[in-house]
Amino acid sequence: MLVPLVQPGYRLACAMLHDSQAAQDVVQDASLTAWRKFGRLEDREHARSWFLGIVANECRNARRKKWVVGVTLGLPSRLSVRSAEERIVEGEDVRRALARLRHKDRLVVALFFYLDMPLEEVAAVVGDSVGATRARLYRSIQRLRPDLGLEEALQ
Amino acid sequence: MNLRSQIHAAIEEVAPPAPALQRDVLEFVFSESKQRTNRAVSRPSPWSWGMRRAGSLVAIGLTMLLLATLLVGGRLWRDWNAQQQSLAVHAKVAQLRDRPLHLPSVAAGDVCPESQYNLDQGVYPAGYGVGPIYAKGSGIRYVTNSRTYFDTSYRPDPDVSGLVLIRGQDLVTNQSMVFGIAPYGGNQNPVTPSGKEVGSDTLIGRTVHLHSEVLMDMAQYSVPGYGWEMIQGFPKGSSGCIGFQADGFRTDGSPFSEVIVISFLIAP
Repeated sequence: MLVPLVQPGYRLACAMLHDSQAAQDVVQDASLTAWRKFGRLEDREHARSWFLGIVANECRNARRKKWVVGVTLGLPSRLSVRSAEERIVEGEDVRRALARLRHKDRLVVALFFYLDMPLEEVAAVVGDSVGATRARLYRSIQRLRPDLGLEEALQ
Repeated sequence: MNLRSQIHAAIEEVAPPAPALQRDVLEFVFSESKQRTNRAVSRPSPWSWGMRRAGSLVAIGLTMLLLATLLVGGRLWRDWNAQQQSLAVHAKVAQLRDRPLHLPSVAAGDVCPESQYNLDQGVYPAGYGVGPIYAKGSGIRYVTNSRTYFDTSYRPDPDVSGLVLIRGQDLVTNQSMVFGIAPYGGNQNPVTPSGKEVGSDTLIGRTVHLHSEVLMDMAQYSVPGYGWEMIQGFPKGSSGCIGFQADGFRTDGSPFSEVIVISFLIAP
């Protein structure tokens, strides 16, 4: 059950922490938690949102324990050759903007834009209603890119 | 580049592929779960800690209860034991007292049937009687307004065991003898005046309580050469022909009742 969820969890952790090593640690801890609590999962069809919720919670704990992560890390461990300098600057700006978001806002953005999850499943991971999640997503977009309209941002 | 692409690109830069992560996660989960299982086996749960704490309190309480029980129980046992011993003594005395007197009757003017006087090993005076109890006077006599007292000692044979009860009366007038502790003190083998207290008298300035009988205990016969020393008296008007009965048991458990008759010289 866990195996197909590891990579989505890792990607979410990277999006939340911007640190691959910390993300792997978080996924391991989240996997152990999930393995221990798997018996409590009533609807196995929602295992992914359930597991990603655990990962998100572990990410928040990790940032509380290591608050310097968002400050000290951020430089990519591997860069593309194409337009290197420009992409470094651009990527760094985006990550800093994401890092300034509140945990739940950043989680909604990461799930929706990076993991390409539908809004209903994002709401399930976050634990809010779809409407509240949609409103949270819109607010987060405005903070990330005030210059963008919602229609454009959601493309 | 739209926002989605920007976010993708920015995060992909810090999210290198981790192909071994699935295997690492599985190994981590299984190893951790195994260790936790072992820890769960070896380390008591919080519930177990609570039980241990409660168990310790119960153990302390039980220990204190045990100590208190031993303390109180020891005292109760000692008291009960002393009481039982006292009851056993009383039972033994009652058994001796229940034995009937076999003293002869002597008519006034008749010769007093005095017991023979024996010599210990044929040399030393043992006293009156055929054994296992012998009576011997020290020669000390006290005369008061109500009675005449003779200092007397009783000696037992070695096969006498336990308590010996002495009772006596005038064989002519049937007046009862009285017994008391010798007033000069220093009794080597103490006696216990028993039975009914019939009064007291003052001898050489000391008050002597008088009883109808006297008990002697082989357990307190620590100086054999002196015998059990006491005073015994008979009232005014006595004939001086006095019969004593010594009741007791031998070491083999057989009972004895010995009658000793002594003719005392009564002061006019």
